[in-house]
Amino acid sequence: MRQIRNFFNMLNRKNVILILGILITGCMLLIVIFAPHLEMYDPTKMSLEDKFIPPCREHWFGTDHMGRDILSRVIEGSRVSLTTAVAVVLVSAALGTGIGLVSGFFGGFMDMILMRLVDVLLAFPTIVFALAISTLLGTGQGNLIIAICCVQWVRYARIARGEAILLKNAEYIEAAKAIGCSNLQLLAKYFFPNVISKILIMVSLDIGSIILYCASLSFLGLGAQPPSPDWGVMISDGKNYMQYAPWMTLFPGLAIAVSALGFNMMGDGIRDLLDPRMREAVQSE
Amino acid sequence: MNYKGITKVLAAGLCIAMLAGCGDNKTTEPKTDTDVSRETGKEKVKDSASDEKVLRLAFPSTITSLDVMDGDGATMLKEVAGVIETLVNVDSNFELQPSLATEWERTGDKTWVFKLRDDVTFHDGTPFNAEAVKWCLDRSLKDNESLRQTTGIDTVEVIDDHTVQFAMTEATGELPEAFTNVGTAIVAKSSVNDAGEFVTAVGTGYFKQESFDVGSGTFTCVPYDGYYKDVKTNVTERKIVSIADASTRSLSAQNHEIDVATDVPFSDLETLKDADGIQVQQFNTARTYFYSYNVNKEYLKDANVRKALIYAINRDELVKDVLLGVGAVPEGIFIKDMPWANTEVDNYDYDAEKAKAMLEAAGYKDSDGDGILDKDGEKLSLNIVTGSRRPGNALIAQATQGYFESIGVEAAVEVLDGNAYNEVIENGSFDLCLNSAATGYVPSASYYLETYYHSKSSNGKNIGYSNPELDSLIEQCKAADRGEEKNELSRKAQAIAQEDAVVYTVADYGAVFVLSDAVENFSYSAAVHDFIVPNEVSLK
Repeated sequence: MRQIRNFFNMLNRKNVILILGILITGCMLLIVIFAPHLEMYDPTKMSLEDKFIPPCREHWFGTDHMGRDILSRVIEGSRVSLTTAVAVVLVSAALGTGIGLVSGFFGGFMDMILMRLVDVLLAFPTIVFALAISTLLGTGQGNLIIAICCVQWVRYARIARGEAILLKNAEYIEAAKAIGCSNLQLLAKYFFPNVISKILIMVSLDIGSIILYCASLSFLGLGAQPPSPDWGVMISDGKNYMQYAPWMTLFPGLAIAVSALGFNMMGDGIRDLLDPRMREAVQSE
Repeated sequence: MNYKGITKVLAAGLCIAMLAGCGDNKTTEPKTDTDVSRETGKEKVKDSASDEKVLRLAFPSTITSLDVMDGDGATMLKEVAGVIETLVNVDSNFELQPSLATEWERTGDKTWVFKLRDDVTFHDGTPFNAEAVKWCLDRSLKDNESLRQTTGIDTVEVIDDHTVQFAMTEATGELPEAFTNVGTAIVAKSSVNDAGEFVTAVGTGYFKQESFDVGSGTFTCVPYDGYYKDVKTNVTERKIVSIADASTRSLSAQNHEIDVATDVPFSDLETLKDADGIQVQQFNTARTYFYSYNVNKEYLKDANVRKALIYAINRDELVKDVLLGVGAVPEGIFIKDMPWANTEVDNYDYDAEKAKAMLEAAGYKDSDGDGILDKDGEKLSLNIVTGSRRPGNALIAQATQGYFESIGVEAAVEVLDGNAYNEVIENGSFDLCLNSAATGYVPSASYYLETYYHSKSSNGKNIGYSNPELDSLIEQCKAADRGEEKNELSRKAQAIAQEDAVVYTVADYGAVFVLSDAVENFSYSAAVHDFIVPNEVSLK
């Protein structure tokens, strides 16, 4: 009992958000892992006599225009949508951090070229630019990941470069240089650990918006293709039956909203926890 | 109360206000002064507009240009706005009717002479005559390669003020048919500015252009006083709005912002049947959904494999349950209302067992037990591509995928936008492509066959389809004059094409229309490109 009370005492406004976020994303993760065991029906199997069944006991989320169970599709879709989002974030974070560190560390001409490129890319609205690249590359999940990575890495590069420039003149870096560390060793052992916390915060904050980007592009027909149960594709499929069978768009829409919310809350919580200025505020409440 | 307290109170107040706003208006208190004044304002607008009858129409794709050489622009201007006209018209029985031309005659294998009306003026007041026809067609033919191919016109020659002679590149009996095509509509010289850019559609129709806003895709036109025929309508303006999205068109019609909307979602037929102030109608046109096999692929060269895959598709169910009854199950290639349609062909009606047996006979077995048939270690796996524009494309492709799966054939579906689709088709990275085309775009017995089945057509080239016997029949049919002999040649060609089963009609196109109850005299014609709004349409 006492432990429970202690737990609740520990909770305050800031980390409630973090815990809720972790709970939601945790549930999502479990659904992704156990998807095949949770699905009651084959998510891609067509069965026209069962089309447009409203939510009921057999089909909790109803069925779509091809008679496929929407709950099973939403569950299977979590695999498609969330793995895409995570892949995008990891690839763009790795790429951005690498380029940013190198650019900040070496400086000079290369830094100027890379940062002007970053400036140019930042000048475009993310989704519009991703849309343009996607159109160029063609449809498909792989191309969708490439398209969003192409625009997303710049944010990480900016942060990593800023940190690298700050660190470059630190005494312990000078010391490391003096004992003969190579550039690669310096980057790996001293620079990278210093930026990783900032990058982690950004990663957790970004996943939510990446889920939305992926869904938007899939909705526009540029990402996953039918009958793949991607959430964006499902909404796009259901759009024409909005008045007739609203459950076709409602449930995938909710899935997107809840997962984006979960990741955003977790991201906020982690930022508050890791950011030293915010940490004091969190602890003092 | 401290600062935080005040913020909380304010926030609570705001929440309550928002919740109150969500409530049902009918149960709220008496109307405030602003409400009343707003309503009377609306009444006033209605009063002053009572003698104005504006017919508001939704056009299903975005109009970016009014140039008659632009397919969408010309279709809108002729069929929906009634601003431009062609030399010849086609009625709903696919018979030719005089329009700007009164009569025509084939004077040689490769020459035609057309007599023009002498009482027609363009909207700018200039007379419509042979010179005007020559100028307009020369311009269109020069810059529009596909029009040159469709019509086959080599040169245009003025004989006298109201007689034009056309020399053709090959023997054709179908020039009058080609002149029903929207791309051959006649506009005045003043449509084009000094720099040669098309600026205004100056045609000869009952309506003349008033304004065009490219940004919003809104086009307005008003009756032209100098029109050569008597038209009974009370419409004082037509306003055509480009709305590319089907659901948006439907909602605009339901909100009474639009009087006629076409190609709305199929489910509207069910959802809106009891809606107030609007009526929903279904209409079948001479447009088809058809599959083309890429016979460049080795395994699809086997006619039995192609036929087996067709047997797997349940077309009755497809039309009834996937297209929700909007469309028809085809009998052969053309809709049966067309005089040259051959309905006595094998349609390969749904028979999943036969499909399986045929594939087995062709050497396909599920040797590794994964549920997918294979032969020589290669899985029977197809890539179906289709465009996104027509509402049934994605649905039919997805359903086909399901049917194939049930006989052990794997299929992937790609629904692509215009350019992406063309690219895939041109580089040949597909097994099966689903298309939709108007069989009466040129209302002749040979046009559709020549465009999609002939080895020299772009479809024929893309899929590698060539049958010399079929090609020859199509060419003979094209060269023949309109009549039973021509139709018979077409029927023979259809029989061969259907036996080859390379290009295969899977469903006839249907469209759902939402019409305001105020609309009168609206009629359908299966012969038009999309839908036609007759000049006589009136408003109650």
